[in-house]
Amino acid sequence: MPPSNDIFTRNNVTIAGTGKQVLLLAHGFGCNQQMWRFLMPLLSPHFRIVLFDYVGSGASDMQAYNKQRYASLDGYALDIIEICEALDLENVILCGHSVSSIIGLLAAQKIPQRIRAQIMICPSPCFLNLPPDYLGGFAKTDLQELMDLMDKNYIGWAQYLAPLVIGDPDAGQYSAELSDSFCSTNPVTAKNFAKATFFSDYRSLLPLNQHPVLLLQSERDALASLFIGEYMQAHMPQSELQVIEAKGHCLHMTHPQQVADQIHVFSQRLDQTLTQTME
Amino acid sequence: MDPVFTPDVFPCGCLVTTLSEQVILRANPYFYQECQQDQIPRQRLSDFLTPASKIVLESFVMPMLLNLGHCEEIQLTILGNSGERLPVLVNAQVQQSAEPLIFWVISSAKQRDKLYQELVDLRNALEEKAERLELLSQTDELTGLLNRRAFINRAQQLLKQADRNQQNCSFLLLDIDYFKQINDIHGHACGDAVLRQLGQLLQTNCREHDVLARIGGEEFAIICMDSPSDSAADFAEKLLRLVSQQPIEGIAVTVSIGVATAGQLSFEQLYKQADLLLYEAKHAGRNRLVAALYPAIPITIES
Repeated sequence: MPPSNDIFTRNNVTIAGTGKQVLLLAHGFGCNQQMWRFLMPLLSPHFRIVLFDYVGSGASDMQAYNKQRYASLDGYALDIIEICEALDLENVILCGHSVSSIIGLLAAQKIPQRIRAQIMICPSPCFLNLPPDYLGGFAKTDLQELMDLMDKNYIGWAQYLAPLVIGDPDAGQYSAELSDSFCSTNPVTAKNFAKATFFSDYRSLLPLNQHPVLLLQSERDALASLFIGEYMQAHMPQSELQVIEAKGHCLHMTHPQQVADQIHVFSQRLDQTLTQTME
Repeated sequence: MDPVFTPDVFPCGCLVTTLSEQVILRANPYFYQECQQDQIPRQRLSDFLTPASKIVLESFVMPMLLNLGHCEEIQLTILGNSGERLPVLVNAQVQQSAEPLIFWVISSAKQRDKLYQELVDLRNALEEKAERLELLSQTDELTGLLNRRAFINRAQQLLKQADRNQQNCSFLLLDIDYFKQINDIHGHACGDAVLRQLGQLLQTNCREHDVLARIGGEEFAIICMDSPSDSAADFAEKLLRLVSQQPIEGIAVTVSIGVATAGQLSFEQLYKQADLLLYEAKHAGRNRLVAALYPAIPITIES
């Protein structure tokens, strides 16, 4: 593992907030840690919050990008594991948006002793429709069309032809990328992340869960339907499902108060359970 | 409002939606015309989009709108009434108020999409070609092993890695004995076959992280990180034995090997040392290896 300092720079780790309980917030596909900014004022008085960007997203170090490592969610989980180890975090509540819920689950299985619980905001273990038992919401052709659509958007966004000109798509030529751009403007890393996210099926992980999990769903979400929330709750031990009276896939941005309230209640209940066990 | 200057007259789709679920509150006739759909109350923008576009909407457009308040030139695909796909270009802006709204401008991007598709196809074709050329430029045509240039590249990376881990690296320089005679007596085709088969023999016996190449006429090179369990000299000895054990193309082939091991030397220095040791092995009668740890005294092992 690289030295701690390298990990902080590599993943653009920021630490904020006051409180004993560590809360690690993991952004989803498409964005970066800035997506947590609406939640921060509500959470930072109560938690020690660790924010980061996955390598390939946000202001992470593009030199550290490895196409192979980040071609599957395990590579992203390794980012979380390495951050937890570099900061020597214990008793962490992992809170992930969308695909980061599953990335968190992968990480939690590798370092169960460091994780206390997980909060999953609009999660999905598999975006594919696999009838008759599972409807992730998308057909394989839809997801292929997504790759095509991303390509077409990247032409307009940034550096579309750069990897070609330079020859090595893994090389660190992206460091000059604007670090303040909100959504990922890097075609190589974003498409790789999209493939890892949308073509995977991690349903088999759910029964292996070892930690208390809070599932937060919205009433209507184009990417993660209520069916998926119910499916996850049914297949994952120690999980509870809370449906927030709201619509859309970015609850933590559109309804930060409701999400923060749920996080507080969940965290307090963890403490109570702990006290009871100790008594 | 001036009856001439209304959203109804502009040749682009104009919409006002809610922020959180993008429920269409107002839309001009052009939008419905373009989508070839009828107006139904309380429709959402996503009702008009392909599944892939919904993902782009939720993963890029909405986070951008929520965080920055605007987004420009996003390409999405509208799903027409009878299933046809219409590429569109979307600009949007959030108006903050008691109930925040999004103002959308959606215009056709049919022509632009064709151009983009061409560009995407071209890029993919070029990428594939570049990958193929890259592979070609690294491969020795005759043996399929790495060529000299690729070897130098990889070897230098390995040396850097060894330096960081404070490990020793070994350079094995291996040369076929009396190769000129093989060519002269059995012909060049047979010589080529010997090179190919020896290359294969070496490849099968190399360990996972060894870098093997044909770097000259009848000269092969292996660079490897030293492991305490399996020293480079032992490895070279094994190769020496393997080659001399069975004839290649019906010919008794032997090799001589120079093995230079060092922690601090540059690639050029290491190469030079291995070359000197190979010369010693040849001079001492061939079919043997000479290994040296720098800075120390060389040892000779006869096959």
